[in-house]
Amino acid sequence: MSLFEQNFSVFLQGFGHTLLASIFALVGSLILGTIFAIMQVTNSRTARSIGNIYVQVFRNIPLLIITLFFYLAVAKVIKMTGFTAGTIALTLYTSAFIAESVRAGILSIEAGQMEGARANGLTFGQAMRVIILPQAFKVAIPSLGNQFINLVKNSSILAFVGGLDLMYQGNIVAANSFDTFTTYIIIGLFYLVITLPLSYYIQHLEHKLKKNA
Amino acid sequence: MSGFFSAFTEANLGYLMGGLGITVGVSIISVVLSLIFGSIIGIVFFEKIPYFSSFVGTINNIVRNLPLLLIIFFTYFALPQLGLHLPIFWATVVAMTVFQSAMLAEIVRGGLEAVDVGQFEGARANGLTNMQTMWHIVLPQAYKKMIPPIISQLISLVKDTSLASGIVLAELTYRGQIIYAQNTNFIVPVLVVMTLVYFLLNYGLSLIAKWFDHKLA
Amino acid sequence: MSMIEFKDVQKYYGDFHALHDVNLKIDAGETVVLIGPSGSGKSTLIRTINGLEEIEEGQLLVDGFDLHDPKTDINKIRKNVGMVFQHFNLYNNKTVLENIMLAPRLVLHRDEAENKRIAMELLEQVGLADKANSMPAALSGGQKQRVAIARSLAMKPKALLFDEPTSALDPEMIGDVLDVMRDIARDSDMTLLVVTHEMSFAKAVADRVIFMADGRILEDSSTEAFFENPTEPRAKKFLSQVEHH
Ligand SMILES: Nc1ncnc2c1ncn2[C@@H]1O[C@H](COP(=O)(O)OP(=O)(O)OP(=O)(O)O)[C@@H](O)[C@H]1O
Ligand SMILES: [Mg+2]
Repeated sequence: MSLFEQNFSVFLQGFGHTLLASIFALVGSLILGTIFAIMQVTNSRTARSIGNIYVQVFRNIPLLIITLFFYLAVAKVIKMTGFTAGTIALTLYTSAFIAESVRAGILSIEAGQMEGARANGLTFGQAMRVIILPQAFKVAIPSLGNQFINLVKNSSILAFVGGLDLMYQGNIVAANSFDTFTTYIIIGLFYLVITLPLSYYIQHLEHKLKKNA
Repeated sequence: MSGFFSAFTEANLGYLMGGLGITVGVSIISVVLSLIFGSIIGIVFFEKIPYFSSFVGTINNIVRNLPLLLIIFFTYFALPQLGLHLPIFWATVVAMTVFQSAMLAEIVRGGLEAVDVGQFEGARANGLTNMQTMWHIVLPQAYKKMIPPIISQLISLVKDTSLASGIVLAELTYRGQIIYAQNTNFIVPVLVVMTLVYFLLNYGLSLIAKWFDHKLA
Repeated sequence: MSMIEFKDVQKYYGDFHALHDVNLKIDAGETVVLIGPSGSGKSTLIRTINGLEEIEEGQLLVDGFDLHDPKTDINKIRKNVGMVFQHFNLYNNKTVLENIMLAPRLVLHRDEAENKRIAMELLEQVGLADKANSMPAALSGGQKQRVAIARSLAMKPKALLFDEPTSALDPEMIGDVLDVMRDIARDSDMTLLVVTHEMSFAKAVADRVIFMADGRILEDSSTEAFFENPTEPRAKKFLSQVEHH
């Protein structure tokens, strides 16, 4: 365990960056993803096309390519660190998946809810905000939770661009200590501290939803 | 604009396409292997064998909740410490297979649970053994419903293979990096073309998944 | 010789006592109808006979095998005891003909040509020869049930269990299925145990009627005795209820 003790602050720093990137990207991708989900269910053809194209493009290309694009190309025009570039890429990538979850949630709400709200005098935006989205999010919670787990795991992409996250610090410790095995086990445990409880909680939620259905 | 295309000499294009070949090769081998292992694990979950199923389930949850990148690095850099040296290509295949099997196991379990219990009862009452019931009646029905999610996993594999550039597997993304390392003007053109190649491949796959989805609905 | 014999059988679902002190003897070749209100345990009882439900206490002898003995190979019993379900349970991924031929092929290793000949004969018998290559999804409920009966008969079982075979059918389909069952009762020497609410069928076909309520067998009489003069007040009440429908 001396490897753990010796490098404790390095691991902790990595853990902090991973957590930070995950939280930033979570908030960002929830907002972006919801916007794109709504665009996909509006009556405007343009909005629908933009929403569709965004989702299809970001779902179908590797996160690494997006990350490299921000780190190598965009960063030439707008100065940014690897951490920032990686977090932006993570946000854009995840938002495509969140858009899909939220859209599925919206579509699962019966049409009568929207019709009732509109007949009641609410605008499309109001009906979305106060009637549809709250119900849609409830339905989408397990799937959103899974997206968040993926996001935390995917944040390891920061290691490719010097993003100071767990994976990055792990690689450095592994290279310096020559004990790659122990180092990666420790790194893995740090990730599991975040992802495993979430995963069990989601399983529990899904179980409960299935029972109620 | 001519600067854009100057990145794509015949040699560079050939080099990139060779990388695409490796990407596709790793993905296909891994998806086939994970389908086999994922099915076995999925059936173990489904059968709820006392202790064993929940033990396997715990391991599976741990694997699913780790970053694939960590599993790739672990396979290539840490396993040699235990005396297990794998060449880069096979280290990637092993890492991908371990990770994807864990994912597919959940899909298989879900597929099995979605098969009507009447199908089991009909077969059992008809005299078929458990194994025969699984093999002739339940699995074919479960797999049919699982085709779209399995294709989704294949898409993930194609994308995730890019992570193996981290252990210097000469797949598509790595080869792109080699090309623009020679000339920084090539960065944007190469990234754009790689984006296009990945997109066309994966979007094509997603259309196939969608087609099955409609057909099976 | 008795084909099916329950001796002091108890069956629990968790804490719920589903079968209470069941004692019942059905001889080879007998046709017995089992009736009772919903939730009385009819399905539970019939499903213990081919081991789809396990019993907790007592002895259950089927074709000489004790189902409560862990050493008994349940597949040996299922080979000789067929079952027809309320919801048919045809194999969704197989054609009608394959539904019938699968178990004889896998379990009895019946010669392929022979297997097909028997399957086609049975399809003729249930009036569905023209559907041999259809998928189950393309059949009506009544047709599905007749295929399911043919599937069971293909195993040439000694006993056949029916769990409300017509309850899920539209009224105009029920007659065809009951006709097929009536022919089986008349022409074969199989032991038949039928759970049904079709009282006219019971009167016409059954040798004996068994009445259950709350997991117990309350009455076990010959068909005439049961319909003319049921001894149990609950059976009386039940009869008046179903006969009004
Ligand atoms: N798998 C099970 N788990 C727990 N309880 C069960 C289970 N199956 C049946 N029961 C209960 O056992 C009792 C008997 O059920 P059963 O299905 O045998 O009744 P039934 O006479 O066939 O009724 P019906 O006419 O509605 O088919 C019921 O109270 C039912 O709720
Ligand atoms: Mg019943």
